Amino acid sequence: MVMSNFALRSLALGIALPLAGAALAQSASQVVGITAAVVNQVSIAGTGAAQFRRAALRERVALADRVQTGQRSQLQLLLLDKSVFNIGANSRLTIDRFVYDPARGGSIGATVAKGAFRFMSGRRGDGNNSSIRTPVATIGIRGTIVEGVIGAEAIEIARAERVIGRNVRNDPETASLILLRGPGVLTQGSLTVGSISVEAGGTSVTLDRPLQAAYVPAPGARPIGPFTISPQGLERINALVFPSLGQRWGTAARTPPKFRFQIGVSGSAGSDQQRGDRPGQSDMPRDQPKQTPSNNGQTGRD
Amino acid sequence: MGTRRIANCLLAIAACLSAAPAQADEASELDALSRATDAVGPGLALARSQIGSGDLMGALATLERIAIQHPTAGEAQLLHASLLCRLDDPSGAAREFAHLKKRDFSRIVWDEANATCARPEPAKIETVKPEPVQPETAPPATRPRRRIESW
Repeated sequence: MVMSNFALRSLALGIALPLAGAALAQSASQVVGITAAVVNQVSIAGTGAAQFRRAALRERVALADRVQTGQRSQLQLLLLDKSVFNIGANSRLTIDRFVYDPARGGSIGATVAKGAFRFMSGRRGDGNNSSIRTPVATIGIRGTIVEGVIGAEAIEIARAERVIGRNVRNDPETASLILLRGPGVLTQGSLTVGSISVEAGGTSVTLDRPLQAAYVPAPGARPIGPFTISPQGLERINALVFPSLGQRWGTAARTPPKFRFQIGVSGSAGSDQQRGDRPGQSDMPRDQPKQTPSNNGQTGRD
Repeated sequence: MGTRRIANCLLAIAACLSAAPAQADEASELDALSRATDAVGPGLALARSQIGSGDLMGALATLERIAIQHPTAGEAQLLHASLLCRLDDPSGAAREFAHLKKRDFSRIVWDEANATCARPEPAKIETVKPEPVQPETAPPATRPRRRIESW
């Protein structure tokens, strides 16, 4: 049977339009990876979506999707360039930027709003420059393994390190502790030696040796560090990133104490300690040591 | 003429659609990596294969995925600890080894993991003691021979 031109056109449109629509929809939400491991409460929300929905294992994650974990929950995000985010409990992450060219390399931009994370670059070589933002700092990453804790747990861990004294004012919502894990100089496998920069409060510090850490206590504050994390601090960070292992090994994080104080911090160094304090609202000692512009309550060792 | 236009239109749409399957293929590769760690055995095999091919970061991700999904998988944790040594993180490795019990593993597996972290001893530089200097015994001075001529 010979089909008329009209019938042919109708058939073609009937096939093409739905397919084109699907293709457009898919390209608009660029897939950047999958949920490679999901434990307990992991949820995801697309761009513009008001509510989070439960994330399935091996669900596609698109650019600008927000993923979050609940209590005793974990997630591994595996991205198209084989970079990996391991996310601990009570965490939230967004992949803001994803540029991937198998021939030339790529870069990733992500935001971690709260919780604990571990990021591993998926590509060797110098062609991989990525960045992770926390509420108070931007971490520039170069072929590396980096861990971070945002929130009250960061304060607790930082306080236990001898370089962070009680004179530092901390924000329990945004304080960020960042740790470089490697690879080190003696790494095998022709990997790029890891290094990161931590930028906050108009200042940038470079971490270029495994176990070097930096701590940003509040918005506008400068990074404290670099300093070498203690074995106990390393243990606590690991327990936050991998809570199931932390529970098995007996190193699981306790519920962090509630911090009562508020902060009124601006970017100017040296003025943080004198602003907005009222009796009973700060954990600062009565006898405040003299602050100089170069010493924002810091006693950095490194 | 109309048929040709329809054909061109379909070709153009097919070109647009070709990008989506490529992306889907790459995500499918990630699916395969994720599926491999649904069970511990295949996951360990994948990690060892990645280590063997030099993909240390890939192996690390695989082992951490196993740790997330199977926190009681001791052999995966042992392999992870030894891998940290390869990545020059001996402190991290030591912390993980401290949580593992030697008796839970075969001797071969335990020794292999620890051997990865053992730093080679610095090469012993043999110092050769110089022999004591003997006072030189000078050869007897050779006097010019006198020719004794017989007259």
